[in-house]
This record gives sequence, C-alpha cells and structure tokens, in this order.
Amino acid sequence: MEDKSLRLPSERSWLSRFTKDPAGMAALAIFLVIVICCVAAPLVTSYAYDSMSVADRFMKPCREHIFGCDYCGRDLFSRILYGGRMTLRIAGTATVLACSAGLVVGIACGCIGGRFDLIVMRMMEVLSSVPSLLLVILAECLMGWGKGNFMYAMAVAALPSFVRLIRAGVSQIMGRSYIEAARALGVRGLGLVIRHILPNILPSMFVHLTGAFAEQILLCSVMGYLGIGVNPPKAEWGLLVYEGYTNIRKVPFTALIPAFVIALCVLSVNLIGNSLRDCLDGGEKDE
Amino acid sequence: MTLYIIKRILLIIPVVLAVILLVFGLLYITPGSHMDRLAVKTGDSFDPVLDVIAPSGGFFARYLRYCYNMFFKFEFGSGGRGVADISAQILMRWGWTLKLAGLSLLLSALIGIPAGIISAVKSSGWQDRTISAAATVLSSIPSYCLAVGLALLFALKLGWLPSYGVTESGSLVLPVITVSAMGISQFIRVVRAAVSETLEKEYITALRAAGLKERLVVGAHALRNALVPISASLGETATKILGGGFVAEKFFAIPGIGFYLIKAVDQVQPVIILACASSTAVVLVLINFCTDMISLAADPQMRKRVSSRAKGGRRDGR
Repeated sequence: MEDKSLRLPSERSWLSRFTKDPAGMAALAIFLVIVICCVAAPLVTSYAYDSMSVADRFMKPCREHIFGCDYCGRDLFSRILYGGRMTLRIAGTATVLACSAGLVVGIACGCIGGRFDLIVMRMMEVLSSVPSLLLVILAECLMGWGKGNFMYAMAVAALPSFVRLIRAGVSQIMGRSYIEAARALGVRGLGLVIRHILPNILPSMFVHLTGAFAEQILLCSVMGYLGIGVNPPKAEWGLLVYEGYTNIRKVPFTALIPAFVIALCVLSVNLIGNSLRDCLDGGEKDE
Repeated sequence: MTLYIIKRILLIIPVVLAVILLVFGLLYITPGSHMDRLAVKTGDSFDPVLDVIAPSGGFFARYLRYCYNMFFKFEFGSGGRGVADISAQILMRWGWTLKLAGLSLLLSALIGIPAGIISAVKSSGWQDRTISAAATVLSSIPSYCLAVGLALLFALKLGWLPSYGVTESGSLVLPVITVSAMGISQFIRVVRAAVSETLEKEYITALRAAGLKERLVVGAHALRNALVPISASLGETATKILGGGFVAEKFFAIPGIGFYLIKAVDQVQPVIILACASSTAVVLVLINFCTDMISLAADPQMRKRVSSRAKGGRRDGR
C-alpha cells in the first residue's frame, strides 16, 4: 500500500483496526500461506507439475505425495501449487489492470463530468450488461488471445464496476467544501487529484479490490474448468478440478482437493474484504 | 407513466444494437492469422466467417445486415456443413436455459429473501452471524466445485439423482441447486443491507413507539420500503444466475445455450458462438427491462418522478 494514504490519521486508524480483527488477520494469514507456497512452488515441492510416472497413477495421499497423484501419475500437490501460480497471476494481473484503468477513467469522469462522463458511463453500462464469462470466452475464441492473455479480457470485464465505484466516490468528494478551499488556494489539476481526491477514495477502492480479485479468481478458474485458455499439461486450478472430475468414480480426491483449495483461497480473499469493509464502516461511524 | 414505459421499450433497441456491435466488433479486430482458424466449411471450400454471416460490404453494412437477418428473419447465418439449423437450436436451447435460470432464481429468492430478513432483524445475533457466514461461504465456492461435491454425493454415492443429461426425471434438481447457491448469497447480502438500513429509519422507531407489533413493523412497513433497493438489484442477480447457469449446463450436460456455446468453442464454430452471444445480449437486455419495470412497480417515488417528467414537468438532468 502507498504510504501516502498512511499519512492521513483516519486511514491509519482503519488499518490499525484491521490488524486487530482476528477474522481478517486469520484470512490474511491463510491467503498469504497459499500465495507464498504458490510463488515459491519450486522450493516447496520437489516434483515438477508435468512429470508423470505410470506407477503412481491414482496414488492415494501418502508421505511422498501428500495430495496423491492424478490419472497421469503427476503429483497433485505440485500441480495445485503451479496451478495456483497460473490462476493467481492471471487473476491478480487482471485485477490490477482493471483497477488502474478504473482509477484513471473514474477520476476523469468524476472531474471532467458533462458529456464525456455521460458517454463513458453509457459505454460501461453496455459493457457490464454482458456477463464477464461470455466476454472472456468471446475474446479468447473469436480473437484468439491464447496463452493466458485473456487476462486483458478479464480486466475489461471487471472495469465497469471499478469505474462506477471511483466515479461515485470522486463526484461525492468534488462537492465537499475542502475541495473548494483547495481550489481557492490554487491547487489544480493533477495536484488536486493526487493530494486531495485520491486518498479519500483509496479505502473503498481497496475493499472493492478484494471483492474483484475474488471474482477474477473464480472467473479464471471457470475458464480453466471449461478448458478455454490454459491447455494441459500446464496446470490451472479449474483445469485440475476438470481433470479430477473425469476420474471421479475411481478417485474422488483428485477433484475434491483442488476444489477445496480454490474455495479456501476465494473465501480468505472475501473474508479479508469483509473485514476491511467493517473497519472502514466503523471508522465512518466514529467520525 | 405509459409514455415512460414506451420510451423505456424504445431504449432497448440501441442497447441491444450496441451490445451486438461489441460482439461483432470483436470479430472485426481479430488478427488475420487467427481468422483462418475461424473459417467455416461450406460445401468443399472454407469461407471466412464474415462472408458467411454477412456477405460483402464494409463493417457497418455487414453489421446492419447481420442485425437485420437476426431480428427480422431470425437467421444467424449457416454454420457450414454438418451443423444443424442454428435458429432452431437457439430456440430449443434457450428454453432449457430459461427454465434452469427461472427455477434457480425462484429457489434463491425463496431461501435468500427470508434468510436476509432474519439476518437483518436479528442483527448481530447468532442467526445473523450464521446466515452471513453461510452467504460468504456460498459466494466463495466456485459453482463447478459445488457441482463436483453435489454430483459425488447425490449421484455417485447415494444414487438419488442423475448428474448427466436431461432424459431422467429430476435431472434439473442438482443444476438448480448449484446455480442457486450463488443466487442465495446474492439475495442474502442485498436483502440484509436493505432491511437493516430501513430498520434504522425514524418512522420505524415511531411505529415501534406507537406499540405496533414487531412482526407488523418488519413485515408490513419495513419490508415495503426495503423492496425498492431489492428490486433494483434484481437485474444484476438475474444476470449472474444466467452466467452461472452456463457453467452448470456444461457440468450437468443440460442442452441449454451455455452448453451449446461451450461446445461451439471446443469445435471452433464461430457462427454458433456469435449467435449464442447475440441472443444472450438480447435476452439480457429484456431481463433488465423486466427488472426495471419491477422496480418501477415497487418504488412510488420513481413512479412519481417518471410521471412528472412525462407530463413535461421540470427535467432533472440525469
């Protein structure tokens, strides 16, 4: 997080409230464990995600393979870790892209207003009326954005919600008297935005960011499940569930373990968001 | 009032056209190398997909032709050799999709709305905590993961319900439950927020002070006002349920539009992909229109605003 926002007293208090919330911290811990394990996958597991061994097919969880092996005899634990790398990277990049684009467009809409605002918001309305899954499928299939590049389409799908949130925040702030005061003192343009507007919309943006990230993880893994975008033998969380489900009669755990990991990760992100929101709401009540 | 509704109906047309433009435009900016892969086999030759769905002309000429064919002739272009009649398929499959989505919406409303009300009334009691936690968990489980669990338990272990196809009775039960999980959490969140906000209003305190029974305060007075934000969010919920239904259709092999779309993606059938996307756009806009009408019915303030504007009263620039 930027230290710019930390300088404001009200914000420090909601952050400190967040660090004292046990549910939020537990969720953060779970999420960080998952992320660190995925990022450091080569250090955590000694198996490659695509090394097969016929003898180990459908092996039940044991000491060597703590989550067992899939239908090709690949270690499921390392496939989950490498899959998490893929899923979290795509979802994370898409969320950051959507958020930064949303910031620029949203602030522009809120500050400029008028016809520009109207046109952009109409465009966002059209964009948000298409389900994000459909948008990503179309980008992937019609435009041939293979190799995980559909994260751009995912970013576009998440864009309208960010723009709407940030624009609402900006136009609410623009009416406040301290903005008028800053203007009277000669603060203009980018300076006004960075110094006075941005710090005020960042908290609610962070809350939205967590929710959007959770949705992007779901979207990315759904794409993997449908077999669009990420191709085997590469690992992706949704793909792992799909592969597991094809053999569910024989070994249910190869589908259930990845499903559980995805749900746990999304749940932890959602809980972080909930806790952040509660801290923020509490702060507003105190004022 | 009537004028507003007519205006609203007319507004459907540009939105539908814009969404189809978005879909159609994607095809136009497709890189050439990928275009070859999208060619449609007609007779013995492979034709570029644009020539199949709208022969000759510039971008807008083709786009208008495609829209004209779609709306006035209900034709989406020929899918090439060996592809069944797309129009008939689209119609048949939307039937299944709407059935699934409708039943899911009904189930989620039946469970989600009462749960949300209880959660708001018993705010920060154990009921509220349980329901809120359940909503968070339900919204965190990807639908296909839930489907795996349900299929494993009810189809494979217990053998009560089918998990594939629509030939047996009860084949929609598991898909509906899968899709509803998301709808329920959505309803709980919206209803809880709406009702608890209404319960903080002063007129509720006044009603309570007047000695009205709590059941009446919540059931008759608070709920009536909470209906406004709830109905306003109905469109978003319906869109989500429709999107979630696509995945459930694929998982449980329900021959709906999502299954059709994903099969077309697998087999690289661009004409079918376009047809599915465009028809989805139309259905979504219609759903949004319906939910707008529902919020109009639920919100007297909006009705007043609308009719005063229609009578030529002061326009509040939106």
